[in-house]
Amino acid sequence: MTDTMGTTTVLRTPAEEALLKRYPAEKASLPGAPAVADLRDGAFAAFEKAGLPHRRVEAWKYTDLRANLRTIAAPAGPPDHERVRALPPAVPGDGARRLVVANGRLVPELSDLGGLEEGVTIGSLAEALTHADAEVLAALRPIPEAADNIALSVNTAFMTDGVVVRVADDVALARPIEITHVIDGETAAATAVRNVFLIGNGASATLIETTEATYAAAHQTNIVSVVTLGDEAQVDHIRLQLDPLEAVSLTTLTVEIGAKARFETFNAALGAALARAQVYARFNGAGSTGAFRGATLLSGRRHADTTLVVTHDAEGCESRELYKAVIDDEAKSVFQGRINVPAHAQKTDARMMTASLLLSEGAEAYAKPELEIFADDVQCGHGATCGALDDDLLFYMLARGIPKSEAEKLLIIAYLGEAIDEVHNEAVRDMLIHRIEDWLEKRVG
Amino acid sequence: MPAVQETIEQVSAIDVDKYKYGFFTEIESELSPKGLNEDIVRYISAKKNEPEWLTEWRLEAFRRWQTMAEPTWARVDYPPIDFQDLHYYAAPKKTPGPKSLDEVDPELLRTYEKLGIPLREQELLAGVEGAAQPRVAVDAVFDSVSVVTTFKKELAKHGVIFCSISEAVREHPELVKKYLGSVVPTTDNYYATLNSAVFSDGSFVYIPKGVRCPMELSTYFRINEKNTGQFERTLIIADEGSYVSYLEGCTAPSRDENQLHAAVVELVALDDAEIKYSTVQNWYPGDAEGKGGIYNFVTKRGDCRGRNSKISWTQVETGSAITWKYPSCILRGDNSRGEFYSIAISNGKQQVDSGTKMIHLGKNTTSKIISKGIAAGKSDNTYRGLVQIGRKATGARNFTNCDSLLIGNKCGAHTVPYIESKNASAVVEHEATTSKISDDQMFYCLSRGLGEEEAIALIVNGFVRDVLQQLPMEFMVETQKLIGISLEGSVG
Repeated sequence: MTDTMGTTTVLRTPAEEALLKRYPAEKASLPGAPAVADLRDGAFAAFEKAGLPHRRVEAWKYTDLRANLRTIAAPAGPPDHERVRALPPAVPGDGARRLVVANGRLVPELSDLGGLEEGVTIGSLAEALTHADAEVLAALRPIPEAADNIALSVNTAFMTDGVVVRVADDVALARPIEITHVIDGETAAATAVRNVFLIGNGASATLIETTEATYAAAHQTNIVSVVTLGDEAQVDHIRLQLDPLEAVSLTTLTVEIGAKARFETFNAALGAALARAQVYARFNGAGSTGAFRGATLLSGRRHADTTLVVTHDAEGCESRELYKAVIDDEAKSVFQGRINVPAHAQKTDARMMTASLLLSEGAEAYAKPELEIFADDVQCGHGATCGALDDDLLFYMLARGIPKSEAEKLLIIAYLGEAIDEVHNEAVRDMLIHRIEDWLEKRVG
Repeated sequence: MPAVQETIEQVSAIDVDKYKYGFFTEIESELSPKGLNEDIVRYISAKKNEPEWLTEWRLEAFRRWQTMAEPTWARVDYPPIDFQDLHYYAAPKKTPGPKSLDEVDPELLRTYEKLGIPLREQELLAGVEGAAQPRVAVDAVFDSVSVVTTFKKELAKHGVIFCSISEAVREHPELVKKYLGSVVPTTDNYYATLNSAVFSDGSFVYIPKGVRCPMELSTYFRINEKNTGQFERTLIIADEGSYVSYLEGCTAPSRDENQLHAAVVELVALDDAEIKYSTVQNWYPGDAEGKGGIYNFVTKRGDCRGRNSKISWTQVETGSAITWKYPSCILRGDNSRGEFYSIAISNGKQQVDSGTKMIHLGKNTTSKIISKGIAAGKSDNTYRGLVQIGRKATGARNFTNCDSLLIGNKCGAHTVPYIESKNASAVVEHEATTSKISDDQMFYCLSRGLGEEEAIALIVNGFVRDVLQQLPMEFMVETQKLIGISLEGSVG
């Protein structure tokens, strides 16, 4: 085993240099009261010290951002509203309240802000930062699991805007809230968006986030969503990453879960050349349940990383983790998952599963499912598998006259179905199946 | 031994100290000056009358080591080691390579007798403990030197070379030159590089083509002198179509200060050869407060170089204050097979970070990992493993199962597996669980009149059975006893 100490290097890559120059130049134009400026300075100092994470940083072992991020795109300018409006809805028929964050800013003109249910408020992050909204500022502080995460630090330093959603106690949202993150522009652009969802005690909501673009370009998005759930709250969170195939997509979800609450999240990684989806979750109250799932489809030379840290910081919580990847051509899939169980979190029940399906000679899969356990009265497990389609299953279908390409398609959909079927929202489920079918069509053709 | 006697002995042992090998032998030793520099490396090399090439090899490793930094990625915590505050060579004075057992210092013989290690061939031949007792050839390493190797003549009849590595350097330089450092290069990692510079003694085994080694070979490592580190080097070569089963045991006196043990073990299996390597690691673990104990930083690696070769690691880890050890297999030959069976038990303030690496390079290579970690007291027990499937490893197959058991809520059990697959036709499966001893099982045992500690030992023995079955018979019995001892005091 070679020495993997993360030593600091003095040499900066062009991308690092660009970020170092950008911050002092843009600082004054970034929204926020003095308290926010301090927060930004602190986060930027962390980046300045560490640089972009590389393979010697254990949490980025398989996704070397320093090597892969060659340039930093210019900050996104104002979007063309008509082009954004013309974009077809990502999830047809979900009946959601659509909020559009285009080129890093919430666009009220394009967002469905009318007829809000009682107890629900929707605002822009930039506004909350300017007023130094105490609740929002508290939510910006990273949870311990993500404290030294550079993607998050860079987002904190550069965040321009985002959505702040508050749902009061005992309010059940009938319509899902869908946040459409769009980058509009023909040339590569960068955004840093922060969304905050504060869901009160006993409240319930479905939150859908999509990331898309009007043109295929090597955009760079860094989106962080912070969700806090009160006691007995229920939240379904879905993220559909539909970035152009040239793009770099960094998404982070941090979740704090109260007592007797239920939280579920599903991440569909369908786009981007380099994608990393990070989930940091904490159970702060006893008797809650959580489900963390995802599906990744990869082809070409794309690279997708799912990094998950779930901390059971309270007794008697149950969590289920299921991540599945289909990897074709010369693509690379990474899964890193960790379940932390401190000594006081007795009666924890946690199950983590990850599976990778390799469809071609050049495909690569990396998995690192970890357990870190200090409590003795727990049931924790993890599983990881990695392999090709089962020959026996294929043979069975071929023997019944199903053509090979069709048989493969059925098997792949069934394989991903295990994760997708758990999504509560029917429109999202249908949309996912369609996208997978499309992807498989293209693969065969 | 009748059961009653055993019980009495165990109970009396608990009162004083659970570690029964903690005694120190008063024996006059020759020590190298404290510290480490090129002169010390030359001193060790000169002590062993080594040829020029080996001295140079050591010096190159030493120079390399000076440029390296201590690894910190393992989940272990210890104060910085002062590498200049150690004697890198310690040898009992009166034994400059004795020809026969009669020339060995009787004090040494008594030490091994006390440890229960059979050094007298005739005793074993007579089969004092029952006719079915298998014979075991032993290489006894005391601090930095091998004091005696038994059954050499009989083994030589079959063409098997079994001797200390210093002797091998003198007698079989061509084999040593060809294979030393070919599995664990001098540049491998911090401790392996240190070992390459200062290694003192260890065993050398060569099994010629087509020979099935007629008896179990074993090495017994003993650290005796204080302020010393033990840096042994073991090299086992199984030529085409041969088979060998090798056992390794180790103990050390109970001392308040920590002692360093940084060994390197290299295994080479050529076409159709098989090596079975079993370890019962019982270094002094330190006292209940975490004072003293051995730092066990070991690099063990097997190279399945030939087609259809097989290397199997079985380890029972109960000792050491800190264990940092990842016996690995490089599955280079087509159809080669690697196995890793491990039981790691930690109690008190012990820290274990252990696991394996299975590197699949050849076609149709298979590997199996069964790891059972048991944490009690205030200990930390980490499984860290890597399964890597190379681009050309078509049809490779891996199965990994690591289970952890926690006894009490002041200890920690961690699983850190790395899975890297670059071949679609390879199948990798990994499963891990962590749980406590189920109340139902405890209740069942207690209601049948077993004491709490007995019940735990019984359940734990059941938990680790998959691994125990892989051990040679005489180790199995000893291990079952060891598990009982290690877990005493973990209740309540």
